[in-house]
Amino acid sequence: MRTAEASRQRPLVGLSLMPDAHFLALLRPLLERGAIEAVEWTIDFSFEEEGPAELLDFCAESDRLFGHGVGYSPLSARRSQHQERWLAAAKEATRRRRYRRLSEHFGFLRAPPFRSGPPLPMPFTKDVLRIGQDRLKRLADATGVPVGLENLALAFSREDALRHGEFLDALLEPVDGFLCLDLHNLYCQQHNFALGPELLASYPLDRVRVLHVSGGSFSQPSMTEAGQLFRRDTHDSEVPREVFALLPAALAAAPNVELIMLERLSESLESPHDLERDLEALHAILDEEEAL
Amino acid sequence: MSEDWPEDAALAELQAVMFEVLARGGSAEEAARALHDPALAAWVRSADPRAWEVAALLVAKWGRREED
Repeated sequence: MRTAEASRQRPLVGLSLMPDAHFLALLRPLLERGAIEAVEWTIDFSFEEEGPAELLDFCAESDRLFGHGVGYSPLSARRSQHQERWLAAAKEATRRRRYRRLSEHFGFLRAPPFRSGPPLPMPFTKDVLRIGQDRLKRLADATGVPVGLENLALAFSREDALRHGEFLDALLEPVDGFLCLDLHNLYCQQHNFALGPELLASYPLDRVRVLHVSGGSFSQPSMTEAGQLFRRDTHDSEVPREVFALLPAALAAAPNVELIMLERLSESLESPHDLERDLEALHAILDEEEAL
Repeated sequence: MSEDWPEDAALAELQAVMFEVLARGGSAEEAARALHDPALAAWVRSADPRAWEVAALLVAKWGRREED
Protein backbone atom coordinates (compact mmCIF):
# COMPACT_ATOMS: atom_id res chain seq x y z
CA MET A 1 0.00 0.00 0.00
CA ARG A 2 2.76 2.42 0.92
CA THR A 3 4.54 1.69 -2.39
CA ALA A 4 1.49 2.71 -4.39
CA GLU A 5 1.00 5.86 -2.32
CA ALA A 6 4.61 6.89 -2.66
CA SER A 7 4.13 7.39 -6.38
CA ARG A 8 1.39 9.95 -5.96
CA GLN A 9 2.04 13.65 -6.14
CA ARG A 10 2.38 15.51 -2.87
CA PRO A 11 -0.83 17.44 -2.15
CA LEU A 12 -0.65 21.22 -2.24
CA VAL A 13 -1.18 23.19 0.96
CA GLY A 14 -3.62 26.02 0.44
CA LEU A 15 -5.66 28.67 2.15
CA SER A 16 -9.29 29.61 1.78
CA LEU A 17 -9.33 33.35 1.09
CA MET A 18 -11.49 35.82 2.93
CA PRO A 19 -12.23 38.93 0.84
CA ASP A 20 -11.51 41.65 3.40
CA ALA A 21 -8.44 43.88 3.57
CA HIS A 22 -7.38 42.61 7.01
CA PHE A 23 -7.16 39.00 5.83
CA LEU A 24 -5.43 39.88 2.57
CA ALA A 25 -2.84 41.95 4.44
CA LEU A 26 -2.08 38.99 6.73
CA LEU A 27 -1.74 36.78 3.69
CA ARG A 28 1.02 38.71 1.94
CA PRO A 29 4.04 37.56 4.04
CA LEU A 30 2.83 33.98 3.90
CA LEU A 31 2.64 34.10 0.10
CA GLU A 32 6.11 35.63 -0.07
CA ARG A 33 7.50 32.83 2.11
CA GLY A 34 5.88 30.12 0.00
CA ALA A 35 3.76 28.78 2.85
CA ILE A 36 0.68 28.89 0.61
CA GLU A 37 0.78 26.82 -2.59
CA ALA A 38 -2.83 27.22 -3.73
CA VAL A 39 -5.92 29.19 -2.83
CA GLU A 40 -9.58 28.48 -2.58
CA TRP A 41 -11.92 31.30 -3.52
CA THR A 42 -15.57 31.33 -2.56
CA ILE A 43 -17.05 32.38 -5.87
CA ASP A 44 -20.10 33.91 -4.17
CA PHE A 45 -17.79 36.67 -2.89
CA SER A 46 -17.11 37.93 -6.42
CA PHE A 47 -20.72 37.88 -7.58
CA GLU A 48 -20.93 41.38 -6.07
CA GLU A 49 -17.33 42.56 -5.96
CA GLU A 50 -14.23 41.66 -7.92
CA GLY A 51 -12.09 40.43 -5.01
CA PRO A 52 -8.27 40.16 -5.10
CA ALA A 53 -8.16 39.87 -8.89
CA GLU A 54 -4.40 39.91 -9.30
CA LEU A 55 -3.87 37.06 -6.83
CA LEU A 56 -6.76 35.04 -8.22
CA ASP A 57 -5.53 35.49 -11.79
CA PHE A 58 -2.02 34.45 -10.79
CA CYS A 59 -3.32 31.29 -9.12
CA ALA A 60 -5.62 30.53 -12.05
CA GLU A 61 -2.76 30.82 -14.52
CA SER A 62 -0.71 28.31 -12.50
CA ASP A 63 -3.68 25.92 -12.04
CA ARG A 64 -3.73 26.54 -8.30
CA LEU A 65 -7.12 28.16 -7.98
CA PHE A 66 -9.89 26.07 -6.45
CA GLY A 67 -13.46 27.31 -6.35
CA HIS A 68 -15.96 26.91 -3.57
CA GLY A 69 -19.62 27.85 -3.43
CA VAL A 70 -21.95 28.55 -0.54
CA GLY A 71 -25.20 29.70 -2.13
CA TYR A 72 -26.32 27.13 -4.68
CA SER A 73 -28.28 24.91 -2.28
CA PRO A 74 -28.08 21.76 -4.39
CA LEU A 75 -30.65 19.82 -2.35
CA SER A 76 -33.38 22.48 -2.35
CA ALA A 77 -36.59 20.78 -3.41
CA ARG A 78 -38.02 23.77 -5.29
CA ARG A 79 -36.52 25.57 -8.25
CA SER A 80 -35.99 29.22 -7.36
CA GLN A 81 -34.85 32.39 -9.05
CA HIS A 82 -32.08 32.62 -6.45
CA GLN A 83 -30.74 29.25 -7.53
CA GLU A 84 -30.97 30.10 -11.22
CA ARG A 85 -29.22 33.44 -10.66
CA TRP A 86 -26.51 31.69 -8.64
CA LEU A 87 -25.95 29.21 -11.44
CA ALA A 88 -25.70 31.98 -14.03
CA ALA A 89 -23.22 33.86 -11.81
CA ALA A 90 -21.15 30.69 -11.32
CA LYS A 91 -21.08 30.22 -15.09
CA GLU A 92 -19.83 33.77 -15.54
CA ALA A 93 -17.23 33.40 -12.74
CA THR A 94 -15.78 30.24 -14.27
CA ARG A 95 -15.81 31.80 -17.74
CA ARG A 96 -13.81 34.79 -16.46
CA ARG A 97 -11.20 32.75 -14.60
CA ARG A 98 -10.03 29.12 -14.74
CA TYR A 99 -10.83 27.08 -11.65
CA ARG A 100 -9.26 23.67 -11.21
CA ARG A 101 -12.25 22.37 -9.27
CA LEU A 102 -15.47 23.72 -7.80
CA SER A 103 -17.17 22.40 -4.67
CA GLU A 104 -20.46 23.21 -2.98
CA HIS A 105 -22.10 22.15 0.26
CA PHE A 106 -24.02 18.94 0.77
CA GLY A 107 -27.43 20.04 1.97
CA PHE A 108 -30.01 22.77 1.44
CA LEU A 109 -29.93 26.35 2.65
CA ARG A 110 -32.94 27.82 0.93
CA ALA A 111 -36.65 27.09 1.22
CA PRO A 112 -39.23 29.82 0.59
CA PRO A 113 -39.84 32.15 2.34
CA PHE A 114 -36.20 31.79 3.45
CA ARG A 115 -33.82 32.94 0.74
CA SER A 116 -30.72 31.81 2.64
CA GLY A 117 -29.59 30.09 5.77
CA PRO A 118 -27.07 27.53 7.02
CA PRO A 119 -26.67 24.29 5.04
CA LEU A 120 -29.02 21.77 6.65
CA PRO A 121 -29.07 17.99 6.19
CA MET A 122 -31.63 15.98 4.27
CA PRO A 123 -32.58 12.31 4.57
CA PHE A 124 -31.11 9.90 2.03
CA THR A 125 -34.15 9.15 -0.16
CA LYS A 126 -34.57 8.51 -3.87
CA ASP A 127 -36.37 11.85 -4.29
CA VAL A 128 -33.61 13.86 -2.64
CA LEU A 129 -31.09 11.93 -4.71
CA ARG A 130 -32.95 12.69 -7.97
CA ILE A 131 -33.00 16.43 -7.22
CA GLY A 132 -29.40 16.58 -6.03
CA GLN A 133 -28.10 14.68 -9.05
CA ASP A 134 -30.01 17.04 -11.34
CA ARG A 135 -28.61 20.17 -9.64
CA LEU A 136 -25.05 18.86 -9.75
CA LYS A 137 -25.41 18.05 -13.46
CA ARG A 138 -26.62 21.60 -14.05
CA LEU A 139 -23.62 22.97 -12.13
CA ALA A 140 -21.18 20.82 -14.10
CA ASP A 141 -22.80 21.76 -17.42
CA ALA A 142 -22.90 25.47 -16.61
CA THR A 143 -19.31 25.77 -15.43
CA GLY A 144 -17.43 23.09 -17.33
CA VAL A 145 -15.38 22.57 -14.16
CA PRO A 146 -15.05 19.31 -12.20
CA VAL A 147 -17.65 19.68 -9.45
CA GLY A 148 -17.84 18.24 -5.97
CA LEU A 149 -19.55 18.41 -2.62
CA GLU A 150 -18.30 19.04 0.90
CA ASN A 151 -19.48 16.85 3.77
CA LEU A 152 -21.57 18.54 6.45
CA ALA A 153 -20.65 19.07 10.08
CA LEU A 154 -24.28 18.83 11.16
CA ALA A 155 -26.13 15.53 11.14
CA PHE A 156 -29.42 14.96 12.91
CA SER A 157 -28.48 11.54 14.24
CA ARG A 158 -25.70 9.00 14.53
CA GLU A 159 -27.39 6.87 11.87
CA ASP A 160 -27.58 9.82 9.46
CA ALA A 161 -23.92 10.66 10.04
CA LEU A 162 -22.95 7.13 9.08
CA ARG A 163 -24.99 7.36 5.85
CA HIS A 164 -23.68 10.71 4.63
CA GLY A 165 -20.78 9.06 2.84
CA GLU A 166 -23.01 6.67 0.91
CA PHE A 167 -25.40 9.54 0.14
CA LEU A 168 -22.57 11.73 -1.18
CA ASP A 169 -21.23 8.90 -3.32
CA ALA A 170 -24.65 8.43 -4.94
CA LEU A 171 -25.04 12.18 -5.55
CA LEU A 172 -21.60 12.49 -7.11
CA GLU A 173 -21.63 9.35 -9.22
CA PRO A 174 -23.47 10.64 -12.36
CA VAL A 175 -21.08 13.60 -12.77
CA ASP A 176 -18.06 11.62 -11.55
CA GLY A 177 -17.81 14.35 -8.95
CA PHE A 178 -15.24 14.72 -6.22
CA LEU A 179 -15.55 14.81 -2.47
CA CYS A 180 -14.23 17.82 -0.58
CA LEU A 181 -13.70 16.05 2.73
CA ASP A 182 -13.75 18.52 5.60
CA LEU A 183 -11.85 16.87 8.43
CA HIS A 184 -13.15 19.29 11.02
CA ASN A 185 -16.70 18.47 9.97
CA LEU A 186 -15.80 14.80 10.31
CA TYR A 187 -14.41 15.49 13.77
CA CYS A 188 -17.64 17.30 14.71
CA GLN A 189 -19.67 14.20 13.87
CA GLN A 190 -17.22 11.89 15.62
CA HIS A 191 -17.37 13.99 18.77
CA ASN A 192 -21.10 14.62 18.73
CA PHE A 193 -22.15 11.02 18.06
CA ALA A 194 -19.29 9.11 19.73
CA LEU A 195 -18.04 7.72 16.44
CA GLY A 196 -14.56 6.41 15.68
CA PRO A 197 -12.59 5.48 12.57
CA GLU A 198 -15.67 3.88 11.02
CA LEU A 199 -16.92 7.35 10.11
CA LEU A 200 -13.92 8.16 7.89
CA ALA A 201 -14.18 4.70 6.33
CA SER A 202 -17.86 5.33 5.49
CA TYR A 203 -16.97 8.07 2.98
CA PRO A 204 -16.12 7.38 -0.70
CA LEU A 205 -12.45 8.07 -0.15
CA ASP A 206 -11.40 7.41 -3.74
CA ARG A 207 -13.44 10.51 -4.68
CA VAL A 208 -11.56 12.83 -2.31
CA ARG A 209 -9.55 15.49 -4.14
CA VAL A 210 -9.64 18.23 -1.51
CA LEU A 211 -9.28 18.05 2.27
CA HIS A 212 -10.45 20.97 4.40
CA VAL A 213 -9.00 21.58 7.85
CA SER A 214 -10.12 24.23 10.29
CA GLY A 215 -10.87 24.98 13.87
CA GLY A 216 -14.22 25.33 15.54
CA SER A 217 -15.93 25.68 18.87
CA PHE A 218 -18.21 23.92 21.32
CA SER A 219 -21.80 24.74 22.23
CA GLN A 220 -23.59 23.71 25.39
CA PRO A 221 -27.05 22.47 24.36
CA SER A 222 -29.67 23.41 26.91
CA MET A 223 -30.92 19.87 27.50
CA THR A 224 -27.57 18.27 28.22
CA GLU A 225 -25.56 18.27 31.40
CA ALA A 226 -22.68 20.70 31.79
CA GLY A 227 -19.64 19.34 30.01
CA GLN A 228 -21.59 17.46 27.33
CA LEU A 229 -20.60 19.82 24.59
CA PHE A 230 -21.64 19.84 20.93
CA ARG A 231 -18.88 20.55 18.42
CA ARG A 232 -19.54 23.13 15.70
CA ASP A 233 -17.70 24.12 12.54
CA THR A 234 -17.17 27.81 13.24
CA HIS A 235 -13.72 28.38 11.64
CA ASP A 236 -12.79 30.78 14.42
CA SER A 237 -9.84 29.08 16.08
CA GLU A 238 -6.67 27.21 15.32
CA VAL A 239 -6.88 23.65 14.01
CA PRO A 240 -7.28 21.32 17.00
CA ARG A 241 -4.98 18.37 17.52
CA GLU A 242 -7.86 15.97 16.89
CA VAL A 243 -8.15 17.25 13.32
CA PHE A 244 -4.41 17.09 12.69
CA ALA A 245 -4.55 13.54 14.05
CA LEU A 246 -7.12 12.60 11.39
CA LEU A 247 -4.93 13.82 8.55
CA PRO A 248 -2.44 10.92 8.21
CA ALA A 249 -5.27 8.38 8.18
CA ALA A 250 -7.17 10.41 5.59
CA LEU A 251 -4.11 10.74 3.38
CA ALA A 252 -3.39 7.02 3.66
CA ALA A 253 -6.95 6.05 2.76
CA ALA A 254 -7.65 8.68 0.09
CA PRO A 255 -5.18 8.15 -2.73
CA ASN A 256 -6.19 11.08 -4.96
CA VAL A 257 -5.89 14.12 -2.68
CA GLU A 258 -4.62 17.17 -4.59
CA LEU A 259 -5.03 19.85 -1.97
CA ILE A 260 -5.19 20.40 1.79
CA MET A 261 -6.99 23.66 2.45
CA LEU A 262 -6.90 25.65 5.68
CA GLU A 263 -10.04 27.63 6.54
CA ARG A 264 -10.09 30.47 9.09
CA LEU A 265 -12.38 33.44 9.59
CA SER A 266 -10.72 36.81 9.22
CA GLU A 267 -12.09 38.23 12.47
CA SER A 268 -10.43 35.45 14.46
CA LEU A 269 -6.95 36.42 13.23
CA GLU A 270 -4.58 38.91 14.80
CA SER A 271 -1.33 38.26 12.95
CA PRO A 272 0.08 36.14 10.11
CA HIS A 273 1.44 33.84 12.80
CA ASP A 274 -2.11 32.63 13.55
CA LEU A 275 -2.24 31.15 10.03
CA GLU A 276 1.42 30.29 9.77
CA ARG A 277 1.31 27.93 12.74
CA ASP A 278 -1.36 25.74 11.14
CA LEU A 279 0.16 25.95 7.64
CA GLU A 280 3.54 24.86 9.00
CA ALA A 281 1.91 21.94 10.80
CA LEU A 282 0.31 20.82 7.53
CA HIS A 283 3.62 21.00 5.67
CA ALA A 284 5.28 19.05 8.49
CA ILE A 285 2.69 16.27 8.30
CA LEU A 286 3.21 16.00 4.55
CA ASP A 287 6.99 15.90 5.09
CA GLU A 288 6.52 13.04 7.54
CA GLU A 289 4.25 11.19 5.13
CA GLU A 290 6.81 11.51 2.36
CA ALA A 291 9.58 10.28 4.63
CA LEU A 292 7.76 7.05 5.50
CA MET B 1 -30.07 19.39 -19.59
CA SER B 2 -33.80 19.91 -19.57
CA GLU B 3 -35.39 23.21 -18.58
CA ASP B 4 -37.78 21.09 -16.54
CA TRP B 5 -36.11 21.12 -13.13
CA PRO B 6 -37.34 18.21 -11.04
CA GLU B 7 -39.06 19.30 -7.83
CA ASP B 8 -40.75 17.43 -5.01
CA ALA B 9 -43.71 18.72 -3.02
CA ALA B 10 -43.16 16.56 0.07
CA LEU B 11 -39.51 17.54 0.32
CA ALA B 12 -40.39 21.19 -0.26
CA GLU B 13 -42.82 20.95 2.64
CA LEU B 14 -40.12 19.33 4.80
CA GLN B 15 -37.62 22.08 4.02
CA ALA B 16 -40.08 24.91 4.59
CA VAL B 17 -41.28 23.40 7.87
CA MET B 18 -37.72 22.82 9.06
CA PHE B 19 -36.76 26.45 8.47
CA GLU B 20 -39.95 27.84 10.02
CA VAL B 21 -39.86 25.67 13.13
CA LEU B 22 -36.11 26.02 13.64
CA ALA B 23 -36.35 29.81 13.21
CA ARG B 24 -38.81 30.10 16.07
CA GLY B 25 -36.99 27.60 18.26
CA GLY B 26 -39.64 24.89 17.98
CA SER B 27 -38.94 21.21 18.55
CA ALA B 28 -38.37 18.40 16.08
CA GLU B 29 -41.62 16.86 17.30
CA GLU B 30 -43.46 20.07 16.41
CA ALA B 31 -41.95 20.00 12.92
CA ALA B 32 -42.78 16.32 12.48
CA ARG B 33 -46.45 16.92 13.35
CA ALA B 34 -46.68 19.59 10.64
CA LEU B 35 -45.59 17.18 7.88
CA HIS B 36 -47.90 15.09 5.71
CA ASP B 37 -45.32 12.51 4.61
CA PRO B 38 -44.98 9.90 7.40
CA ALA B 39 -41.48 8.80 6.41
CA LEU B 40 -40.17 12.36 6.39
CA ALA B 41 -41.94 13.04 9.67
CA ALA B 42 -40.24 9.99 11.18
CA TRP B 43 -36.88 11.25 9.98
CA VAL B 44 -37.41 14.64 11.63
CA ARG B 45 -38.69 12.99 14.81
CA SER B 46 -35.49 10.93 14.98
CA ALA B 47 -33.33 14.07 15.22
CA ASP B 48 -31.03 14.21 18.21
CA PRO B 49 -32.36 17.12 20.34
CA ARG B 50 -28.83 18.53 20.67
CA ALA B 51 -28.39 18.60 16.90
CA TRP B 52 -31.84 20.12 16.43
CA GLU B 53 -31.03 22.85 18.94
CA VAL B 54 -27.77 23.67 17.19
CA ALA B 55 -29.61 23.79 13.86
CA ALA B 56 -31.99 26.31 15.44
CA LEU B 57 -29.04 28.43 16.55
CA LEU B 58 -27.66 28.36 13.02
CA VAL B 59 -30.98 29.33 11.43
CA ALA B 60 -31.42 32.14 13.96
CA LYS B 61 -27.98 33.47 13.02
CA TRP B 62 -27.91 32.91 9.25
CA GLY B 63 -31.53 32.57 8.16
CA ARG B 64 -32.80 35.39 5.92
CA ARG B 65 -36.37 35.71 4.69
CA GLU B 66 -37.23 37.12 1.30
CA GLU B 67 -38.34 40.37 2.90
CA ASP B 68 -35.20 40.80 5.06
